[in-house]
Amino acid sequence: MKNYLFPNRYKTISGWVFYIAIVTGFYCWSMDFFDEFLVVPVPDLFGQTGGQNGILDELFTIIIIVSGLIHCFSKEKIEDELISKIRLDSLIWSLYVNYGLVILATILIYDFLYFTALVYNLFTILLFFNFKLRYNLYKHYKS
Amino acid sequence: MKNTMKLHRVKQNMTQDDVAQRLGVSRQTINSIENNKYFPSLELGLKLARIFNCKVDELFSLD
Repeated sequence: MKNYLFPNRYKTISGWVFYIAIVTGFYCWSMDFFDEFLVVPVPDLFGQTGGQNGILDELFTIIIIVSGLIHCFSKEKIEDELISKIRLDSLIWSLYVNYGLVILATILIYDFLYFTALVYNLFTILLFFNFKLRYNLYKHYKS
Repeated sequence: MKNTMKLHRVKQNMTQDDVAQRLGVSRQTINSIENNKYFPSLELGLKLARIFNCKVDELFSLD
C-alpha cells in the first residue's frame, strides 16, 4: 500500500539534526543573534527589510521543519499496520494538544507576545508529535 | 472482538516471532493481536487464517 513516509535510514540523522537545530536555534534567538549574522540581499516581496536581511532565522526555521518532518515521518525498521495506527493516533493527539494551546494563547496572551507564541507553535506541533510517537512506540516495543 | 490466535499458533507449534516473520510484521504486533489490544485489518486477518490453515471466523469472532 502506498504511503508518504521516508525511508528508515533517514530517521536517526534527521533526529540529531532536528534536536541540535532546535537547541541551537533557541540559543541564537535568546541571544538575539538572528539579525547580525548572514546579512544578505533577499527577495523582499513586501518591501519590509530594505532588501537586506539576516537569514540565520530563516535557515534555522527551514532546517527544523524539514528535519522534524523527516524524523517524524520516517518508517520504522518493520513498518506494519499497527505502527501506522500508532503514528496516526499520535498525530491526532498532538494536533489536539497543539491547537488547544493555540486557543489558550489566543485567550490569555495579547499583542506582540501572541505572535511570539504563534512562532513557537510552528515547532511545537512537531515536538509534541515526536514525543508522543516515540513514547507510544517505546510502550509498543516493550510489550 | 475476541480471537483464538494463540490456540492456533500453539497447535501449529509456532512462536510469535515465526508468525511475525511470515507476515512481515513485528512480533509485538502479533502479541497485541493475541492480547486483544489491536484488531488487525481484513488483509492481515486473511493472511493469519492462511498461515493457520483455518477460516477467518474460526480465528476471530464477535463478543
